[in-house]
Amino acid sequence: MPKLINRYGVVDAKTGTDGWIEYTGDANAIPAGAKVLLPLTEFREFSGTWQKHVGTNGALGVKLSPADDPALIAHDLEKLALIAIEFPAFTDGRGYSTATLLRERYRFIGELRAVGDVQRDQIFLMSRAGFTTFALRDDQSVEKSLAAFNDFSSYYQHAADRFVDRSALPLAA
Amino acid sequence: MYQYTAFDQRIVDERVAQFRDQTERHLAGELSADDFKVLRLQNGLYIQKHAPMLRVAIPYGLVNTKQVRMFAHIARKYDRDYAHFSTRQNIQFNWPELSRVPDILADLATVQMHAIQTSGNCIRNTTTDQFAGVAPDEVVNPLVWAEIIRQWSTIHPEFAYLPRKFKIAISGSTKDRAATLVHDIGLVALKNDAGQIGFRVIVGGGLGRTPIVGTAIREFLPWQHLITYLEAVLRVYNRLGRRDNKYKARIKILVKESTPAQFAEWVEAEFEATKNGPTLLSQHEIDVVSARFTQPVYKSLPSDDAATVTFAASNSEFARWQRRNVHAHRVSGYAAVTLSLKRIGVPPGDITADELDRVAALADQFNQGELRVTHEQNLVFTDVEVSALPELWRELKALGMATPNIGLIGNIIACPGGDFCDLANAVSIPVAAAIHERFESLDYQFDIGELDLNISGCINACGHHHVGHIGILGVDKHEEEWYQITIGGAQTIAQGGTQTAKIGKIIGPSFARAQVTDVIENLITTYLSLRERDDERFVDVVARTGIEPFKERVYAEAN
Ligand code: SF4
Repeated sequence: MPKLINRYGVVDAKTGTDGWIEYTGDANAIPAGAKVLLPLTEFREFSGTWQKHVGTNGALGVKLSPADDPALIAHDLEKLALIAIEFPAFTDGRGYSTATLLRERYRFIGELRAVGDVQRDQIFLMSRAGFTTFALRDDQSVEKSLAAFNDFSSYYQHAADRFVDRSALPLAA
Repeated sequence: MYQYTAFDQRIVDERVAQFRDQTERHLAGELSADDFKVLRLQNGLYIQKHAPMLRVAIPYGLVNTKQVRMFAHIARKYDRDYAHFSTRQNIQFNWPELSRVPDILADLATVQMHAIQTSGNCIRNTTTDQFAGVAPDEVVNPLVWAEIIRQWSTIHPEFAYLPRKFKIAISGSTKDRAATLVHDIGLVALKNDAGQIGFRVIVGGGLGRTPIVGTAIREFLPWQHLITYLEAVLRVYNRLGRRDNKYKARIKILVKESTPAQFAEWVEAEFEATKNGPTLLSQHEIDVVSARFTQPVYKSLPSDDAATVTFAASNSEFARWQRRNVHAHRVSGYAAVTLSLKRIGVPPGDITADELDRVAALADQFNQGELRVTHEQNLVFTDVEVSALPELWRELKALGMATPNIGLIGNIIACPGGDFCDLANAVSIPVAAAIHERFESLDYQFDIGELDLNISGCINACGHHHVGHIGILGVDKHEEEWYQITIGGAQTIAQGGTQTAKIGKIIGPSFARAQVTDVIENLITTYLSLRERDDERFVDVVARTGIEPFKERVYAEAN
């Protein structure tokens, strides 16, 4: 499992898991009441079924590939506690626009997570683009990654992070 | 010249610290060569044939003498006593050591300079007209807008990992000296009938493997929306630009494949959804940035200076220089002067540390402590008093920078090519040198008249060969150096009421290096035999006759 951090520390430090289970085609692997991360197509087709399955104790999340259009879930955002955006390679910058659109245009206020090739050197930019959690690539140092949030103390542009309520982020253990 | 605030300085300083940390982690083995490569490129650092190459940004081509002296210092301390001006208003150092690059960047930061985003797949240095602010045909001074774009694009979180590099050029004159039609985005600042400032927005131009003249998708964008609109274009490109093939990843391919009309529709939809948001510019923001610019101080002077006129009448060398290298100024009694860095025996754009110091001293004496770098790899003093021209000319002559070849065949634009660049198919600099020597006679150059000759060592087209009246491109044929020749290109040419760019046409099969100079001479003699008036330029003749007569002559001679 990759380490998951937010700007305050390791999110899953105590349990070693953040509780989310990724659906990869085997519905039996997902207990009722779980927190499930679904691919976009699965969510769009079966969101009703999944909502029933996870019930009020569980939660739904969607994982977007770089090419996925966030407009497709714009009307479902209140059903989602988590949106994960995949970076197959850190040089594939589409996820920054996806995150910006979700925060600025569609006003998603839940957890926005960067997954995949997530390195220390992109965290500052990702955070500014509205990401709140970061599933670090295995070789990344947690300590150095946490320092990345402070790479710059100021910046020239408006960005999607102005829609992020930092006080609502869980303080890590 | 824009003066940094503490805020600007902090961002640059923090960038140096960030890069120092990245370099240290790389040298310690914590950051792989592949991962580090992307980061170092965004800080201007290439690893080339012989050594790293560091490209330092000269935002919109404007530098002061303190900065020029810093270039000299860097050339001496970290390099081999010289530097190179590129075709994009940047300066390059060819021999720095990787571990010392953070120190170079720290030195640069002390004079408000940096290498941020001078390479990599991000928004690059914004370029403009070298005569911005002083050109008589200027409608809007683009410098403040260029600075606003610089700030906005610096470490922009959404656009740091684009499909490919992204270059913006801005012009504010009737004549487009910024090549706005062959940039990813070209902006032409203009005024509407009510006198309000706005921009024509051109997208999808570019050279390289697929040369394309850009398309205007907005004829008049009110200035308040500039940044919002740029973000709309960039967002569409970032999301939809191709990432599967680096040769198809530039915005021009997206614009072409989707059609300009469709692309414009996407941009307009994005713009509609975001306009009047926080990126809307206010007069206050413009005023604040404008106020950070020092302005040249002009005396009230007569337009002509009697002594200068007399001197020109008695000294034909000076008169020639005045004709080619001195340019009109919007303020009476002032002129702009191009310092030619096209010298026999010196690669185009190269300059030594001592010369940098000398140029700085002259800029202090004659040009209020500032100068410009041009995309033709020359330098410009923009605010010289006409009465001082003879004295400046003598000084420049002593420095070897008064060759009156601006706009002539001697003003060859050439990329570093095979002598330095890993990507090259062939050398550029020796080809430029051979042609320059063949056409050394200034009488001959003046007779030929205006001619842009551009050389690129490979299809990346850093020498902008497609828009040269004559373009030379290095191609690889069985591991040998061959050259393809194009004619009839133009960076800017009047067409109807507007300016357009023209891509040169290939005249036929390529030539061996030993043939190139003869081929160029044949092209020139063909032109001289075809021209109908003295002021019919090479490029005009090609437009009139087509490439056939040139082709026939060149291949008849070559076989
Ligand atoms: S045109 Fe090619 S050879 Fe010349 S500098 Fe650019 S990449 Fe290198």
